[in-house]
Amino acid sequence: MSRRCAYTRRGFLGVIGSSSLLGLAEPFLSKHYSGALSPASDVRFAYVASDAEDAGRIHVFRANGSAWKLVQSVASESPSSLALSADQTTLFVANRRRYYQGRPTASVEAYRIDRCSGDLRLLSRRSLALSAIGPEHVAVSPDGKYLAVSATAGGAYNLLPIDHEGKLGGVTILHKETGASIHPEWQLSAKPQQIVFDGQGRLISSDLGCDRINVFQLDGDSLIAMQRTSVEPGSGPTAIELSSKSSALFVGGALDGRISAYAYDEANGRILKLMGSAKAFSRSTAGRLHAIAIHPSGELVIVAWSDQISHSVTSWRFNRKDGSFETGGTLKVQGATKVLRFFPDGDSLVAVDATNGVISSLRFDEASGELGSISKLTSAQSSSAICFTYL
Amino acid sequence: MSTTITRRDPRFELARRTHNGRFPAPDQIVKQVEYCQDAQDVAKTLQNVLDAGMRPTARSSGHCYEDFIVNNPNGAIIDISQLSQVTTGAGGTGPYSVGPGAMLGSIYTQLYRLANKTIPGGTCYTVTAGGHISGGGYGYLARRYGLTVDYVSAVDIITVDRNGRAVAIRADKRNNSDLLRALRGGQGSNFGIITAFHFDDLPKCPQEVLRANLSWNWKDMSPDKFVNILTTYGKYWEENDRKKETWGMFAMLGLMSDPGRINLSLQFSDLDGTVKDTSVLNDFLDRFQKCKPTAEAPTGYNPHIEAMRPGSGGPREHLVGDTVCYGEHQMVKQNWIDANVGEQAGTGLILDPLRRAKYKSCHMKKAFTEAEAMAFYNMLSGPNAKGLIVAIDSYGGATNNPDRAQDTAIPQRSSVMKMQYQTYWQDPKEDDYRLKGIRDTYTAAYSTPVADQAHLGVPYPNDHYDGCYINYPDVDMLQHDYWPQLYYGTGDLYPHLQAVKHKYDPHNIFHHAMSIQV
Repeated sequence: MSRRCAYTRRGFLGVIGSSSLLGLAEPFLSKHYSGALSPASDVRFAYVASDAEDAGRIHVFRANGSAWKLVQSVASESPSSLALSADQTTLFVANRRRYYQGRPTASVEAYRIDRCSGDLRLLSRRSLALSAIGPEHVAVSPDGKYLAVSATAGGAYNLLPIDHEGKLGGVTILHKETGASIHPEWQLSAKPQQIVFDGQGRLISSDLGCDRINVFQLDGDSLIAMQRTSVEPGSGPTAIELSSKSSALFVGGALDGRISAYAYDEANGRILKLMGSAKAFSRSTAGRLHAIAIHPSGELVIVAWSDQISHSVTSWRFNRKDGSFETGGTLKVQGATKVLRFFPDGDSLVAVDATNGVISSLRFDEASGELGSISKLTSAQSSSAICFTYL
Repeated sequence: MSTTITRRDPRFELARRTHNGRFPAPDQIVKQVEYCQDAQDVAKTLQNVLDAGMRPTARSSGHCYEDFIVNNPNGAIIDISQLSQVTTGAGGTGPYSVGPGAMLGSIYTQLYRLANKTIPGGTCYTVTAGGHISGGGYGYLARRYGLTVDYVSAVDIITVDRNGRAVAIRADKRNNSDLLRALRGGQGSNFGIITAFHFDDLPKCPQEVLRANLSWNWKDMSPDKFVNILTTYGKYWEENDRKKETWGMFAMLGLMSDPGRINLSLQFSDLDGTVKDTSVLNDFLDRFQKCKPTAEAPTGYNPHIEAMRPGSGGPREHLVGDTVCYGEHQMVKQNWIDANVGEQAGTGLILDPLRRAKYKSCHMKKAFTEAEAMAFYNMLSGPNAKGLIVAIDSYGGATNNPDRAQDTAIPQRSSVMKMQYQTYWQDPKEDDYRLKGIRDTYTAAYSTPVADQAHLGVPYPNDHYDGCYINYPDVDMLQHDYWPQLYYGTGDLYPHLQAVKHKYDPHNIFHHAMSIQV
């Protein structure tokens, strides 16, 4: 008999995890810290991937307003990305490793989530396909049948079946990418980055190495490339977010700081056109864009980026009619932002500073587009990803 | 245009096979097999496979000891067995070219017919050039002539460039010389799909050989006798490695676990390719007369016939005692091509899906010590390694040219013996026992005082061992993060291979469990 907990699940999933950092400068923190700020009162548990070199772990925090309490810490090899099943009962983890069981591959894990305590229990650990090393991102298909893995260093996508208990099967779909672009260091080969599924179960991905956005269709035991959209050479697309509200696909270029909005036809799975773009920084500054977050309205984009001088978080308002981006303000922060994502109410974001291990919430004003006060929630060394279960 | 064999094709069951029934696991089976007919076919097919996002693996004969080719879930095997051309210049002069799908037996035959030349290649008729040569190319004539890769002057290969395009390139001394070195022993499966090997010249085919065979019975074996056999055998190769008059001799000492026999088979010809002088062979055989008492040969016994019996090395119950002591050394003279090709044949089709196997290897620089020999005795005479065969081949001679370590990818240039551990079975229920037996024997053999004390259990390169042979790959070695040094040495070779891999296969298209890691 399953235990019952004293809360109502809303079936909402909030998944965050990718490839960047956030750090909040101590002076900034002391100036703007506003005490007990509830980032999202409905958050029940937070799962944080800590990719420290000496001991990778998944930390489980019980969220209680601004006070997060560590309730469990589970060893996990180099966790890089987290994803939740739609019913919030299973947590999937990508292990950013280059060898697993002596072979040149990586692994993924599935954990059962105890609904009451939030505790994790390992269900299965599976090898990826050979050469699928350095996975950076995982996503669960809308029907809950597949875990999609972006093996960045291996230049491939792997899909693993998920059974009714949440356990992972062996890789059944492998798609190897080729290609390159102009950056002499970062774009010598394909580097799949983030994955999102559209409502029809198509897989949309960014490829930093090839300057491409891809739309794939699952077809039996194959992943068929339906569309490959080239982006600005040298931009290095990394972060992608699909907004059903604005029917737009937002893409963040890691190498040139470009934020681009593409019209996306979900009915047919087509990226239609580039609606507009803006740049968080000039390429000459050798900056890096780390993460983007899309406001639930689909009209506001928050970008975390760094240049040689500082680390920043900038807000932009996107006008779908003319494709314009209008800046709403910039916060200077101490470290690079690894993870950035809105809470459901759109009034605040969570931000993860992997450099300093600080996890914070940021107030956001939708009307003005301004980023406001910051509240430190907890800390975890070398955080790389975070996700939540909700009441 | 390639012929595509999909899972629905009645030929698929055979097309997807390898020679080892352990592979592939049910969830590792390929989606399709593509039979190509020429280099253009290979390039087009490879491009199609890449465009579909599938992983390509290349197969020339399917003799890979591990699952490197057939473990390719939903991928594509590009079969190049049809690229089996063997050509010469006018009138049998050089240059010579060999396709990767040419079987060794066919290569010997055709080069003999057309040019009276040969490659110092392997011992199995149906093994093909693609895997054999690109991994080194060791065989009967290695002591006399060196390795086959020592003669490779150019290689045609399809690689995948940084834009994901399949491109045909030639690696020779002037163009892509870094790749040429890598392909001379570093395995083609790391870099692309080989479509031809070229040789400016090749050594002359020996005219004739003398063959002889000795064997010992486990029933009459003792630890002292066993140690004597092994140390005598090893000492000969250590002492005679630099004596050219012995380079015409190839020998294989096959240690079969009790109740099998211990078998020594050899062939010899003088350096001029004839067998006029038998003193070297007699001197070698005389050294084994230490094993007394003498047994009596059964009626009609002929050691040559025993040596020629298919599967020689297997149990032969009708033999009594130790044939080494049956009396005068009995030898038979044969034409070289007749001796080494005449009794072998095969279609190249993989027709035996049941045979399961596991292999390991070791290069030895020196003779066996008593402790090493006893390690083998303890395992092979006991109950834990039934069915195990340890084949100890003569090595060295012309292969031990240190200069060739610089322009090939074979660093073992001071070894005198090469060992191949083998175990074969059919019932999957025996997997655990068989694998444990070969692993435990291997570990015991390399845990004596002559082993590198920081790397016990493996023949890590030192003054006694010289690592392993990449054409006998063993994924058990992956448990050691230094496995590349076991196969490619501790010098500059592996970094060179990594640089070549990075340059010519930037997407790591051509990979497997033991491929070059960048």
